[in-house]
Amino acid sequence: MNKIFYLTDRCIKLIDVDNYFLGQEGAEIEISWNNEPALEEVLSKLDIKSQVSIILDFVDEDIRYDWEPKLLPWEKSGFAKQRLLKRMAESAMFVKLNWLSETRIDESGREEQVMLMASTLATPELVSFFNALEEAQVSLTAIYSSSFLLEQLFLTQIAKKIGVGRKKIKQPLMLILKESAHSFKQIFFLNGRIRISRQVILDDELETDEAITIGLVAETQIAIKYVYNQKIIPFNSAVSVVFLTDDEHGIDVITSFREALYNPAWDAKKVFYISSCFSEYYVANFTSEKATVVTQLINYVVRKTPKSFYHNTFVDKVNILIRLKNLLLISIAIISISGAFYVFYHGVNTYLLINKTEALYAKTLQFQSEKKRLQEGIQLKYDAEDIKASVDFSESLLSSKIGGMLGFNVKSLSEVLSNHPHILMDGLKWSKINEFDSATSEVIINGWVFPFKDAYEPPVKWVDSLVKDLGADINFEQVTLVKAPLDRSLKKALFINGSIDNTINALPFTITLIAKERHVQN
Amino acid sequence: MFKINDAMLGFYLKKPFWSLVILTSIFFAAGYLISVKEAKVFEEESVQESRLLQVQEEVNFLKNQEKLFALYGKKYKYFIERGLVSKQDRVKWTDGLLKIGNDNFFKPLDILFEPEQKLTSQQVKHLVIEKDIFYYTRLNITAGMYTDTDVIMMLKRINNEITPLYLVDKCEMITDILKLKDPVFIKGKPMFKVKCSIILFQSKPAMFNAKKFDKEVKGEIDPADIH
Repeated sequence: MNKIFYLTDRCIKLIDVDNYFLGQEGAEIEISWNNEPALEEVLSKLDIKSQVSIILDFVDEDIRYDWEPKLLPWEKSGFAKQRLLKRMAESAMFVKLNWLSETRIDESGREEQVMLMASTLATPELVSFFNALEEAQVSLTAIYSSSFLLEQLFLTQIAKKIGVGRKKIKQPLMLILKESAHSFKQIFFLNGRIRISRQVILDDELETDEAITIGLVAETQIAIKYVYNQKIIPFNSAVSVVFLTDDEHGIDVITSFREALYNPAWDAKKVFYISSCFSEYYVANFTSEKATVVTQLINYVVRKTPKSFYHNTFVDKVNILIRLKNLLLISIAIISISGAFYVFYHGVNTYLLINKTEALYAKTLQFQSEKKRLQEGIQLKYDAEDIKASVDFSESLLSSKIGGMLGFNVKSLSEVLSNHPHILMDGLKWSKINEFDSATSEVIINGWVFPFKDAYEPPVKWVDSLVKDLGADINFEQVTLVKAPLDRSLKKALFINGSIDNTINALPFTITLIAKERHVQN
Repeated sequence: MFKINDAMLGFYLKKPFWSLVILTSIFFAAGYLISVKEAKVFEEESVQESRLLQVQEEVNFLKNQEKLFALYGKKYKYFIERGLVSKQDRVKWTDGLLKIGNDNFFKPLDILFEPEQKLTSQQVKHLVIEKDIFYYTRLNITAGMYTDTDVIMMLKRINNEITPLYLVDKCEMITDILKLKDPVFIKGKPMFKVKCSIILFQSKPAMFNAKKFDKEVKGEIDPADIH
């Protein structure tokens, strides 16, 4: 339901975009400004669903480039607003203000910046037209200026294709577009920007192409002179020409331009005369016989939807609504995607978990039946691990009783003693050292040596011999004579009572030793 | 700029707004339900998993018991019959010792059982203590004997008639040198005074409970109380 209003000084054109490109009848309705009933009827057919753009093509559109004092960024909008209000008060319908990047220092040393100001006059018809639009509550998305649209179209879509690069575009350039047989548009570019835009309408009586060309060239010469006179560019400086037309005769026309305009003093490299056909620059694969400027603009607007050039509250409102709607749509997309992902992910996860739980349950049942079988099958009184520990303990206990039942090697002791007839033992004491199952025992032997008669030497010798024999036995270690029949230590005092009773015929002694069990199989 | 009942506002935003609201609530509801379900399933899964682990452990335990019993059951029975491992049968011990004493005229014969104590690995060097279930009792025997070989004989008879599973910790034999020089055997007047300290061992295996996991109760039961 896209519609475009193409407003000229002469009339209002309502273009139904879809039908227009299909070449259908009635796609283009022309209404004169005075014909209010017709306009009302057209507007009444529009509703909220109609997306409407407006292209303003008025002769009296004012384009100005003013040097303004350079301001700080936050001061600019205030300044611009001031200018805008001022201009509006001068009966402007729409005002476009734009700070450009060019700056200069003026004579007094003040830094200045260029500001573009484009405006259209508020005519009663125009005001009532916009009021009617607003009342009809159509979705007005953009208000364009035909000159600036052409500038944009030329710079973005055409210039490069016809060989006008970034450097060439900075040169003074006259762009001439054919609107109809007798109607042309002239746009003067300076520094790659639109400077002046004007419409040229030739006399209808000119019939041949040659006559029209001569007329057009003459008009162009006038325009260039005007530029010189207005001191927009220095007098006689080079001006290039680009001619865009709807047919193949552009080359003849451009030759005429070259002949009429070229000054041999100009740098030939900087000046160019180019003609080209509109139909080559359609944005999309659209072919139409109506390869006019208007078609070109409509096509550009539809395919590229450039930003609104002029603004009023109504356009702003619609654009805000569109932006909000897009925001909502994006939110819906994000929520749908993330929500679907969340639900899907957790759904799959849950499904897998359920499956896993079921598998675990089945396995548990299997183990439980095995457990039951085992529980019923095992007839145990005690814990089997404890049984094993008990068995291991018992076996180790039996194997640790290696030296016989007494816990030390009594056999070796009696063998040694049997070789000593002068010794009698009256006390034997043994005990394990440290652990219960220790291989070593401490043994204390209390005994008597006899006969003792007047001399200590023989008994001492006999006891020494016993100690020696015991020490020689591999089963015994640290054989110590603790209490000797006679203490021979020189470090101690020794007292012998000479009046000892003669009836004593034996002497006591005590030996300690460590008995070591060797590993003997029982 | 905008009024709430503005037709344009409605035209542009009504549908997407309500779609957003409905979609959001649908996804929130679905997300909430599914996360609740997931949490529940997750809990069920972990419960099931721990149940499986437990029953697996039980089965492993039972299998191990079965295996160990197959390996050690017979030996255990043998040792039980030989007196060690079961209870500390003081009656059996006392009767056995009295019989040995009577047969050999050990006079006097004093038997002292010290209280049972836990056997720790510090007290033994070679004995294998795999579990904390072993105890020992010190048995002090004081006896009058006629010959020095009576000690060996006594220990041998203990070994054969009562149990081989004991250790002699210490022993003492004292005699009167005069009697030894000129031995005269008089009944009731022994020549040797013998004091021996013997270590007896007990094990207290825990009762086997095939269903101990079912009840989750594992008390320490004195095997002696079961008999």
